[in-house]
Amino acid sequence: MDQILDIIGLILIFVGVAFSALGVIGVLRLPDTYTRLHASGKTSTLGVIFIGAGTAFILPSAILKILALCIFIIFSGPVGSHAIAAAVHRGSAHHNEEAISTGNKSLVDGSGVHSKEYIQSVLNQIDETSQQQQSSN
Amino acid sequence: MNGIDVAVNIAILIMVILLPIAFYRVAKSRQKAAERLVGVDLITNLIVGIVMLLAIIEQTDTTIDIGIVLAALSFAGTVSIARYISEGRVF
Repeated sequence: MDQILDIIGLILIFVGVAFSALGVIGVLRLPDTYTRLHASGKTSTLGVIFIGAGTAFILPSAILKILALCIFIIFSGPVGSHAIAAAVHRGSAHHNEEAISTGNKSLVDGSGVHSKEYIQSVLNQIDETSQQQQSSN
Repeated sequence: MNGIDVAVNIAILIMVILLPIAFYRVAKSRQKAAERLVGVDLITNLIVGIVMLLAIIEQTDTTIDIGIVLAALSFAGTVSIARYISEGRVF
């Protein structure tokens, strides 16, 4: 009976380690800040929860502390991810809209928060609007 | 050292190998502070996982208190730094 609980705990621990590895690979490989946040915010929270569940199976005396930690992680993880995403959005999105409306390319946010494809699409949009203004004149 | 300890040590080894990979994203990022904040948040979550695995090796539940305190402090730090990035001040 003891060994069955240990094996269930080990399986849960390695599932959690796999989730954490997926989060790290996502943060390493994805192109811009929003997608990296998408990778780290979900998988790292889930990884900690699975590792905690496995630890609770192997070490039953710690189950209350692990429960408290997991509930705290469930509430704090998405709030932290949302705070980072809101900070990124407030810092860059308005500049790009302003650049499109005024046709000023120096306002485009090239600091790397957005992927190269998105920045190129913003620049193309500015070119199109300036051409339309010239043809109407 | 029985089989459980060996397997948990392998899990800790994998998690510790993941740490410098996540730190590479923090150190080499050409982006703004928000980009580094994503990496630091991920590293903290990895360390909380490692601390819980260490509790199995030590056979004591006192080690998990470290994880609770680290999670609480990292949440406060993440939210305040995000607020500093977006508004230019913390309070």
